[in-house]
Amino acid sequence: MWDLIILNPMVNVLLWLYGIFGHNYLLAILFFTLLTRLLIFPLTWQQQKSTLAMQKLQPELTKLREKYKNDPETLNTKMMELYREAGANPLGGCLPTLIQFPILIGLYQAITRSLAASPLQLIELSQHIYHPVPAWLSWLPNAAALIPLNSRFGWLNLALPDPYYILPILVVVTTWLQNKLMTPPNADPQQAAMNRSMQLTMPLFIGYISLTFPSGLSIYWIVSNVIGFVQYMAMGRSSFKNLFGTEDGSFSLRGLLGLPQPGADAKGKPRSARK
Amino acid sequence: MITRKLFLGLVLIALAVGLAGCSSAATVLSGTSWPGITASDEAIYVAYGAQVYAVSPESGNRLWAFPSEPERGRTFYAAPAVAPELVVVTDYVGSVFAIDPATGMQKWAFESNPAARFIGGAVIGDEYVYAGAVDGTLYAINRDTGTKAWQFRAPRSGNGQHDIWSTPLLDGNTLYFTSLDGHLYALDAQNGALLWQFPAADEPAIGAMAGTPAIHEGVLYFGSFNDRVYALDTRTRQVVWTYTTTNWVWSTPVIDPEANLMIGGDLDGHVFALDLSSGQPRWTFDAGGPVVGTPAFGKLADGQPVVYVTSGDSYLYILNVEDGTQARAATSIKAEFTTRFLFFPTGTNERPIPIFAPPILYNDSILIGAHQGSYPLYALDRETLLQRWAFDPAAGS
Repeated sequence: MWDLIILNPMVNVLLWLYGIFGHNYLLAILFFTLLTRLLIFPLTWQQQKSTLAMQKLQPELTKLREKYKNDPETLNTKMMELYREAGANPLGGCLPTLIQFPILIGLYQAITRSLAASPLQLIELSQHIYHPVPAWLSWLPNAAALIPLNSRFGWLNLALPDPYYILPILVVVTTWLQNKLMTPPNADPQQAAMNRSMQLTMPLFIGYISLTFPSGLSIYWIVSNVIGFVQYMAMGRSSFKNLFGTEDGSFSLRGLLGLPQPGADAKGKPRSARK
Repeated sequence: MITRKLFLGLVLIALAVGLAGCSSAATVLSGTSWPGITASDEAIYVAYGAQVYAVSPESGNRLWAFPSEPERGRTFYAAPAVAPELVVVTDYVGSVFAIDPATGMQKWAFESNPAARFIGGAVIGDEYVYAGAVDGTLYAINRDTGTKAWQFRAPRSGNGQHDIWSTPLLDGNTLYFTSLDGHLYALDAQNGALLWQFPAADEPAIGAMAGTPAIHEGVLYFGSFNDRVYALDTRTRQVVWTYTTTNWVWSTPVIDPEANLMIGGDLDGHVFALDLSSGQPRWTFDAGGPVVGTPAFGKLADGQPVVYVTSGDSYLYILNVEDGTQARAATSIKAEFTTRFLFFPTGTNERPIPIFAPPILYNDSILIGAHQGSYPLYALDRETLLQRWAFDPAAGS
């Protein structure tokens, strides 16, 4: 089932794109990333709307914390009710990342199969290519004529990890940026701490994985992240608020790193909001 | 409220799904290739992993291993080439070795580009040894000294990838080899001059080719990754006929001149018997998995001509040459695996394994190479199809 629904379509689309883009595997991956983002756009759009809704809820959340500061259980219940009414999700930018895991896994398999470098791998690849293609797809490049693929681009062998670690660093940075941009500051210190933890551990984890995975996969991840936060900024909101943790979106290094603002009061009001 | 525990649980589930997807693929991709096997009167030679072995045909015991100790990074998979007093093997770091078949000692070594693996094997001529590498270079090496006599590099054409994965074919003074660039090349075996190529340089390449062609009365028979089998007249360089199947054709076809028949297979498991003159199918048979190894002609005890075919579905098929029906029930090749709990072995079990190596008929045995399980080579009794022995590389001589 996995092969039928995920892997085989990915392998064949990658091959077709490779043929369409003049035997350039990097362009094939870039365009594939664009296609993938278009497909999951409804999910990411919904998530980004939820993130914006979260921003609007901050004053209400602050009031709730004040009112129920001695009753954490009721506080949690009231907060969840507020989230539900507003259609918000406190996990912020994490869900689009999770949604892409099956895509990431499928793409890893598709890249390693399509860039077959050994007899066993080539035989395996033959089992995933559509034979024959339906007549209505006959205008697409003949996959058989494309094998073996040229996996080189610059210093990269797209089937192997980046030997200079440039891509893994970019993976960490872009993943962190996307999560940071899409996760609104949270008035709840516990939630804020959890967000800080996730914003740090998830990019590092994905960066660690990208050290050993094909560089083509890292390129997919980087481009996908960039598309993600361009998409979010295109919504026309002042999303630097999320990035720096300030109400007016002004630069704050502490906010960028997810740390509490200096001089904030016990209720945790941001520095620029103090009178 | 979504708690931290629930969120981490979701992450773990996603990772588990991912690892499950990755692990099923890792089983298939765990090896690089299947063993290369060649049988001579004295011994059976097996190239697999870090060493090449000479195996006793009677007992399956190891006679010698080359190199005597595994060398880091050096692996052998192509079938050894065998001639009187000479065994030649190619490896994955650009080396060709000549070995004394009696002792396993090295006679000479030829080192080319370490990044250019030899996936195909060598062929031994009167004067030179020929082998092609993944960088598209075909080498002629002095058979006695191991020095390079000449080399040929295909001009850039086709899909730009010139890997040579096949063993060359030497026919008289002409050397033929196929390439992943979608061309078949004919060279002067003495000096490496390009005699001709098919398709011509100004014509579009056909699909990549990884198998060695077969030749009969001046006509080459070979398969391609464009799902076709070709019959090509070497004198006119014209295609005599083509046969279209449903997947890549990798295996070298086997020819029965008396029956005017050739038999081959594709990676969908289709086995086809084609008329040598017209290319018309006389019969077809569906094996359950890719047919990669060259089929082998033989006879049953009652003299009935049959063809032996191995398949990626783990079965050895024995088909009547006359009509492609099964002469004997297919035999599933099972390999022994060590079961483990974490890192600790807990026992062994048997399960069917894909077979991509060709079946080799050797006296009263059928030799089957395996790239999964504990043993790379099995000998089955030709009559009973029961296992006679399994070669254990780890066991001593």
